[in-house]
Amino acid sequence: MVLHTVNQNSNLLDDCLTVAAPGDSLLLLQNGVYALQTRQDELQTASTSGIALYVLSDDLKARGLSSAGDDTIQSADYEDFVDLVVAADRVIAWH
Amino acid sequence: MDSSRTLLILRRPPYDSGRNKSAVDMALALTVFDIPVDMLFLGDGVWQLLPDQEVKVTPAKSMQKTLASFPLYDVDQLYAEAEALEQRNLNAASLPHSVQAIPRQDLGEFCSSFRQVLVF
Amino acid sequence: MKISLLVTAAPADSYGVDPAWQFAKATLRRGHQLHRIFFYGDGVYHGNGLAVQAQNESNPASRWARLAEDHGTELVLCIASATRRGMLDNDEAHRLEQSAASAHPNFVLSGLGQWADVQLTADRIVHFGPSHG
Repeated sequence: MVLHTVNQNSNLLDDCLTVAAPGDSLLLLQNGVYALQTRQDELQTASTSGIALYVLSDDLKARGLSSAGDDTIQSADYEDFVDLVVAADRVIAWH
Repeated sequence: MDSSRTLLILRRPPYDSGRNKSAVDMALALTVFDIPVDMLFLGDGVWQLLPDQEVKVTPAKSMQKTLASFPLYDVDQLYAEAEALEQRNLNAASLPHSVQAIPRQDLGEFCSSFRQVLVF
Repeated sequence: MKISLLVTAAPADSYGVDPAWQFAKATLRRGHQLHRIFFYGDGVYHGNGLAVQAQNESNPASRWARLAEDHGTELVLCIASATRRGMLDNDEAHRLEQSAASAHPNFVLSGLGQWADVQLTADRIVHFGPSHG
């Protein structure tokens, strides 16, 4: 299982989702969290295909956003981030 | 799976930023320490593969010359996203460094064969 | 678990919220070993010992230096990236005939071999790259 991190809201997310496989996890951080607002269809499709979605809560809050009510994505803090890294076989950082 | 096999992914056109140089330097260094390295060019990264890049301003060095030197350093293989080549009217066969094109739908499986994947 | 980081983002990138730093602290809180942090490309600016922050901000190099002292984490600046960006330790400043050392003394300037070693020995590697450009 691979943990993917995405820190921009750009075609980086498309490349990440192309490489990501069912069973992988995806953590949105920094400006990547804006994907929650603008890339809902892609994220929904990823979730349906079996990719576990996470968003770094600090970065979301810092940008005045919230994932409340969005059941496809789980909120994560930095300790959760560490646990995701440990649970994964390896990490691919898309930046 | 080789315990150290590394894939470096390049997504930027040549001269765009320090990222390409960082990737190339790392590729060469890893091979010195017997870590096998392959490189994958995604999206605009495939522009780096064009032959005949002429750089007039020193000390810049064309990406093409750097890539051409890779076999000397045992950088194993260069791969490019097939769709990225098509969208840019490029043909893998006409590129100089024996680049192997991979369809986008196969990239996931391809990347999963590496122990380490670093994006630049 | 033995975790190492590759940092290629400059510290000013995130205006105080530095994800590599936050992750490093969380790694230690979770009881893992933070073995080595390799600063590469623009990431070497994290080791700038001469940077002076505004009053309510902390200096990235000092924060990392404390981490190294408290937890034995190795802080390595890629020597090629560092010298090109004016990040010199005493030895390099002397060797290159520059007037001052700019790297914080808790950082070590060394080659990419230190990174190759991480790839061969770390249980997990996490890369923190720029969030723009």
